[in-house]
Amino acid sequence: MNSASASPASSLGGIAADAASRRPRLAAGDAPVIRVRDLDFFYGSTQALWGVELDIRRGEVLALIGPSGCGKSTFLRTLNRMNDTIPGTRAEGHVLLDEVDVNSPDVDVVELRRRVGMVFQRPNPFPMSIYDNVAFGPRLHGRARRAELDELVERCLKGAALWDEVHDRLKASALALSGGQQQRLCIARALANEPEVLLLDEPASALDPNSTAKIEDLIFELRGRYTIVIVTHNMQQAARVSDRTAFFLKGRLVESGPTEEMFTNPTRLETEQYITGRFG
Amino acid sequence: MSGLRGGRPDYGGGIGAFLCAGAVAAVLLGVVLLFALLFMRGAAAFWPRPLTEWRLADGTVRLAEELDERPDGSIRARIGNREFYGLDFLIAGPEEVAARSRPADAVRIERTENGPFFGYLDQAGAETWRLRLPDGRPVELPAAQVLRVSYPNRLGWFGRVGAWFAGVGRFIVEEPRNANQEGGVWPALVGTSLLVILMSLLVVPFGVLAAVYLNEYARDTWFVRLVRVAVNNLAGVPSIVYGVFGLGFLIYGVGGAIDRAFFAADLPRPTFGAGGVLWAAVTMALLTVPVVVVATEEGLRAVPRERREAALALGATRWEMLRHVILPGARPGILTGAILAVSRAAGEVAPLMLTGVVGFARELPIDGDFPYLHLQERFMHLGFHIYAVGFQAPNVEAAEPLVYATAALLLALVLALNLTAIRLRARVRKRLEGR
Amino acid sequence: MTSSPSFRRRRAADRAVAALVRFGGVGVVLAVLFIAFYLVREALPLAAAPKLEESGRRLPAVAAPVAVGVEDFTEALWELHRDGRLVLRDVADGAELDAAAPLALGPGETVVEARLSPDQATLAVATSSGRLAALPLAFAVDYDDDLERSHRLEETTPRWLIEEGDGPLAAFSVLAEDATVWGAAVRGDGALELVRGRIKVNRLTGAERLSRKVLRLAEPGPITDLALLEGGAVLAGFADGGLAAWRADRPFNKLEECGRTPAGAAVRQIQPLIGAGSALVARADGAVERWMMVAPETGRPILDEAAEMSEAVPGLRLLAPSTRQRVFFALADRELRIGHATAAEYLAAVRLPAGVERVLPSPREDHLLLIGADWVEVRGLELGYPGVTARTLFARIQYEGSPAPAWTWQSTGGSDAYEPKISLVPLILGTFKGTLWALLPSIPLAVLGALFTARFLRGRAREIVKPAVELLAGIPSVILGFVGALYLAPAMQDRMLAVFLLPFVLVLLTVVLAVGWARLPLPSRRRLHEGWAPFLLMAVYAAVGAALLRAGPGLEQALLGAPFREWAPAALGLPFEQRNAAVVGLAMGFAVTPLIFTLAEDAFRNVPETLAEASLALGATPWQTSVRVIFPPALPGVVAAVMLGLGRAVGETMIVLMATGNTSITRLNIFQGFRALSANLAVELPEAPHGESLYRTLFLSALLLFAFTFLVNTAAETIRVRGRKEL
Repeated sequence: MNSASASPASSLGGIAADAASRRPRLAAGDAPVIRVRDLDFFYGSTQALWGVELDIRRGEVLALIGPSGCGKSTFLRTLNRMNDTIPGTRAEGHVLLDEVDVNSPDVDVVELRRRVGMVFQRPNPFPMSIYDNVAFGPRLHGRARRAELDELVERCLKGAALWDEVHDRLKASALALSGGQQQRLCIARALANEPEVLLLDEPASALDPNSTAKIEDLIFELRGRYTIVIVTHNMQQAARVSDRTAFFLKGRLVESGPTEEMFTNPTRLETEQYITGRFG
Repeated sequence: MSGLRGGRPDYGGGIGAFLCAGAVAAVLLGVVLLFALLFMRGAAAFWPRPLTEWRLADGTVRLAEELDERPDGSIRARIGNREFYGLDFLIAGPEEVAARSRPADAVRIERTENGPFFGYLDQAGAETWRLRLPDGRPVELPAAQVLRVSYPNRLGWFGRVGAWFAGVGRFIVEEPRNANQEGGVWPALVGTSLLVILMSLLVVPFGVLAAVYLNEYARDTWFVRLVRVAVNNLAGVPSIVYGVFGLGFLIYGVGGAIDRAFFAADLPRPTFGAGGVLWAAVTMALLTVPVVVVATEEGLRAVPRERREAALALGATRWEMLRHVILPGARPGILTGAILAVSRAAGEVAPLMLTGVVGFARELPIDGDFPYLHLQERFMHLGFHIYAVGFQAPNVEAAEPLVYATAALLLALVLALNLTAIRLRARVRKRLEGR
Repeated sequence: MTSSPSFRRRRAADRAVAALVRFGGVGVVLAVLFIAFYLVREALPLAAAPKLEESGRRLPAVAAPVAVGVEDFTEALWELHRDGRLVLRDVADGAELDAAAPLALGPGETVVEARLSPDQATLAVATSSGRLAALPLAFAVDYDDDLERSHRLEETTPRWLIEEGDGPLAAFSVLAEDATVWGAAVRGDGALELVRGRIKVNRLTGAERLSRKVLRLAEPGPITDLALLEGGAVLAGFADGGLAAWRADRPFNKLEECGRTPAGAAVRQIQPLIGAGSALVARADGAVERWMMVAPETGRPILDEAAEMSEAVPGLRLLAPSTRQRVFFALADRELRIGHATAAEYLAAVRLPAGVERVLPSPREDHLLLIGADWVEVRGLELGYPGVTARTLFARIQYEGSPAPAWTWQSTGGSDAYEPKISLVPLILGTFKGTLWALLPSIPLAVLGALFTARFLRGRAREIVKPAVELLAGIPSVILGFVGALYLAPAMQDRMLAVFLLPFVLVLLTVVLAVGWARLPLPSRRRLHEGWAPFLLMAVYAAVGAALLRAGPGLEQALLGAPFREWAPAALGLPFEQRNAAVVGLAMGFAVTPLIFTLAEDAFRNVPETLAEASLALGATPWQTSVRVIFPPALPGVVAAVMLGLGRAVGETMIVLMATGNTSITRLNIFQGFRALSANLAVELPEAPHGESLYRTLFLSALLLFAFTFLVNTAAETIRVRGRKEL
């Protein structure tokens, strides 16, 4: 291994170490919120995930990395069963949320998705006002008292670091916001459901660097209060925001571990090759 | 926090979604019932029914083709022999029919006048046929009036199926008789086909031309946008309005001018200044231009831009690009438009009523006399046939089975055309989306 | 660089094709747009006012005649002189063509006054001795070898209605009906007499004899003018402005009064209109009113004022009726007004030269005679389409014989004298009635069904539903009309109540099923999400529907005590017809539902899937997602779909033509039929004489249809495009 190829890995490791130094360590031995066991996933007859086993711990930020088509987004979507919306898909194995298998037929996906929120790659605000976007989820779930909603919307917008920018135009159309603002609005909208787990599917890939930085700061803020699973293409981003990282390749989980360790000292050859930019 | 298990009652949407499902169910049920009604009644028109001898309580004897039972238990039956009974149908309650039987030698004779004869055949002479009515009275029938003889009570299952197919065949290739109440629909089928062919010859080239102009040549000016809106909207203009235009402009205007210029000797009897298959076809072509334009434009848009650029980059002129790359690629779209136009013209009746369709035409607009194709002739049409026979026949009840058969035939034609078009269009759309 | 010949050829071909495509493309587009232009062009002449030539040929009369007129071609002028001579003269040069003395007056007896009937076929002649005759006028035309026309008088015999005179008549009128000639006059002694003359023809000799009966009213009052109306009713006006009407009773024993009005401005003239169904009353203050005999539902006809002309004519002197329509000419001092009695308004005013004493239209209404003391001037006249005005098209009008003003469409009648009733209101109302009853069931079915198809149906279920609906959209409307008229109409009339209950029963049933479904364990419930519920419901609906409809007639007997079709007119006051709006609504529903369904489904599917995902990821149920996230942005598309459905229903012809009775009524009653604009066109246009009023009125109604659907479609398209832009 020469120095040229080593340097990106070590620089990523540096970022990860730096990031880790800035945040408090999580209490060790936290019980996992989600335990994934032997998960296979199929699009029709095509298998997209092969025997994935992974624990997601309460309060951590878990980054899912890997080349395009490696199954990391598919995996993310199995966690709140968004794949149900695609005809002909099928999951086998277990995704245990608080010891309940989310794939079992008597699970109410509606409740599941309330508890496991999700933000998509492209910002997708509803064509309604900013306020109505954030209040959408709470209203669905029967929280309609005006004062309560106002307070909740404010809290979530503040939580998504958007309040200062929009507090004077809550009734304006959400479509008038910039891309980065829209994405933070989508995060605020997800937060309003008070989820236990927040799934972020490449939340910054469609945004400019400035907006990306704001999203990353936001994830940093949310850490500890929510369990966050983020899919990202950008390894610096993974290094900056996550506690732990899981590396997917061709539908299999190659390895997972603390981010700092993954980027400085990967155990598997494919991981090292990927983070040093040999493929991907 | 509520548990994941058990869930809420509205997983799939609850009452609202169920009502929506109900709407789909109601629409589907409508489709199924409508098709079932038309095809079953249409097919039943040719199913040979047995002749049942009714001995009525008042002593009269009839041979009856039993048609349907009413809620009160009475039976409606066709009794034939109109010249003797004055009626075609008899409705008798169960207490009125003293005895029923199926004599094997009961004969059904189709003839040129007075509807069918039900009775018994004694002797089929060269000049006259000696027959007996159901009650045994002897009668005679000129041999020239006899068209077909059958013994429905002797038919086995296979015999009936055979008779059914023969009946369908005759329905298609025979001329109508007895004020359209019996016989076939051959002239209407020919008229419809001729109309549709003439219309296609006009609408396809011109529709494609217009679509190519709008999509390939016209720049995106306000005029072109306006024209596109207009063309789209014309698809929604009532068909009768096109008929009004056809009558006023084509027949009285253009036709009148042709008559004054070339057929002045025949005036005031109009030649082209009256309804005819040509004017009907032109009217239909105008009516269907938007259909062809819209479908062709969709087909043109489905040709990817890279392919156009590739053709131009290879040094093709615009016409060469159009001919070798775009038009072949747009062929399914053009075909879809043509089929939809044909299906529309085959089923549309209202404009024809103003432009030359008739309930009964003595001659076909196409025949063996020079110049073989008589564009000024009035013509028959399957769709109008339904209206004419179902509403203007002297005895609508007697003609009803044939109206159902005509409707089923027209429906089958139109459905086949539409199914083809839907399939083709799906292919075009898939290509559009795949880009 | 030089271009090779082949390259030049290719360039030329390219240019030629470009030119052809431009020319052809623009041509096709313009040809289609030409339709709108043409409809306008054909309907526009309706708006033109009547025109009278600025000047005309003037020829001197030989001696001041009592009456003047022209024959059909306006080539020969006839004059009736005081001595009873009838003279025919050439209009071009005044040369005498023919003369006769058909009246055979007594010694010293002269013609005092003669009045021409509106159809100009009968001349009422009053003599100095007080006798009254109806003189039929007829002219013969001979053609020579060069097809040149020459005119002569046809032999005619007067029918003397009053044979014994007792001094000049104060007022008189004559009315020739088929085999009856009526006469009415105020005799020299002031009595009013009504004469009924029956023409008897001797079968052997062919000789005619008039058998007369006379009724007399000794003191009717100071009558200034009178006129005979249809059936021998006498309408008289008094010096004090009152009007009175009498009729003979049956069997012709005495005169019965059938109406009398209070005093007003003095009556100058009472002028019957063509057909004598009504008469114009001209008053001294220039007002003109239209009066007629109206038959109430029971009892004898009474006098009724149908309308008053919209304005008074200052200096009004005389009215002259036209020969074929309800147009009249009102002559004032140096001014002529051309009015229409049905429309009750004046359509044109023309300045006239001095000295015009009378006016008279030619029999074909293509010329107007201005008659002075010793001259006659013939001017060209173009009436245009005077019977078609905004009022006759859209306002309530009291037509001859009807008891009250109404909107009526009945464009043609049995005779030339028929008053056309061309109100478009019943047709427009009929069109909207059909549309309303068709859209009422279609909109919820189509929109809800489309929502379910777009959001809940998957895979195979979807592949069944969508093409099925598209095929339904392609069914020719003539088939739907036929099914409606010959299957639905007879079937529905026996179970109307069940048909109306059916939707409510099915909705209730669905709700019950939905609640029951919710009690099922979740795994079986998931099948609904996969879209198989409609197929289950279909089976349930078919079973329940069949049972309900089968029980229909019995149900009506049990609940209402009579079949619904007899119960509704009695209990609700709603007349019932077999081919009614409910049948049309159902049959047209088959045409409109698939159209709205397909377009609304597109609208729902055009909402980006990311919105649905976002909503689902927030824990919304699919139903909540559909209603709160998918529906609002799709709404413009859905509205557009409904509007296009509306356009289709408005223009639908065959279904309406076949499944209704096509009676033009102005009631929205669902149990009666109606006549729609479109069906009216299909029925009437083939028979309408090319270029005449009815023909152009029908073009106007086609234009209305065109404009309405064009506007609706444009609006729908605009809404749809704008809605899509907002996504």
